[in-house]
Amino acid sequence: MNEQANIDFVKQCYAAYMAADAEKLLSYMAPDVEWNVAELPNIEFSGDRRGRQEVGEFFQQVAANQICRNFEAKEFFANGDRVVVLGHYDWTLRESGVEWGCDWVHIFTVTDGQVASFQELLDSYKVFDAYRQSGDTAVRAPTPGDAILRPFMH
Amino acid sequence: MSEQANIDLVKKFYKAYIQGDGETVLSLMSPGIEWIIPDMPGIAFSGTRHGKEQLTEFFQTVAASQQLRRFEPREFFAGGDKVVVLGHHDWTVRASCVEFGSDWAHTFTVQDGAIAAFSQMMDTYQVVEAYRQSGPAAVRAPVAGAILRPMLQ
Repeated sequence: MNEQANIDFVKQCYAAYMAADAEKLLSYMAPDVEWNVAELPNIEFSGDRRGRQEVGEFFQQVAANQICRNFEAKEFFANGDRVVVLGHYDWTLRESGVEWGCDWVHIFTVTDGQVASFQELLDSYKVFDAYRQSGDTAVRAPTPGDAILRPFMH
Repeated sequence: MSEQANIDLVKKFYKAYIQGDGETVLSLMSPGIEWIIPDMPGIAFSGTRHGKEQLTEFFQTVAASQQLRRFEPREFFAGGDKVVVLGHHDWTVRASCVEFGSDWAHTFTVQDGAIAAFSQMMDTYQVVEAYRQSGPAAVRAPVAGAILRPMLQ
């Protein structure tokens, strides 16, 4: 695929995420997708994942713990099989109401029309500090009834 | 400038930075350069700087506080007046020898052949934690002398 096609594909991924269409979103991932998010103490949705099932769990864990108030993918860049996106998000912890937000950078590798790898760079101290302020009980495991994605639901 | 010319300008910046050539680094910046590092508690060189004087002080404080062990700009992307670079750095806090490192993304805005804005996104938790382990005196005041000495022992 050319670079513009890769950007359009990544935009489809964001559209599925914002529509909370987990089935579609996971179908965009390579079966052995590499998913890299900074490792943070006491944040169960931090750290690396591998494969669709683990990525599905990642989204469940994020959605079980925090509500997305604002999610903006702002600028797209492409080179070869890589797409870089600059954006911003704001979250509220479900348990405590503590708010945090920051700019982020997402880095995708697109292979054969699928996401082969994803890396998120974010202001990791902000999320660590939000959960630290919220205390030990703030991080919740997903419950069986949780939708895979419900980032925007209250 | 073309996107390739913007990438070349940014590569010139990295080359001067790695060589510790502060004069060249500053000559590539607009007078009103906006230099954005995320705010981090206890880290004097975090936050936003404006202008070459504040930027000089930033580089001096970084160099006084920590030693660069590895600095690798790896991938370059350009679009319009922006250049995004993906890379990695590893540092040692001078006062304590605590080590930290992470991947980073740098975003440059190039205007009239100069760098008008810069922002860095990196794993800020690693920085805060390295200085927390190192104690309150680990962030040192800027020292007179070299503007840049990131690679010096």
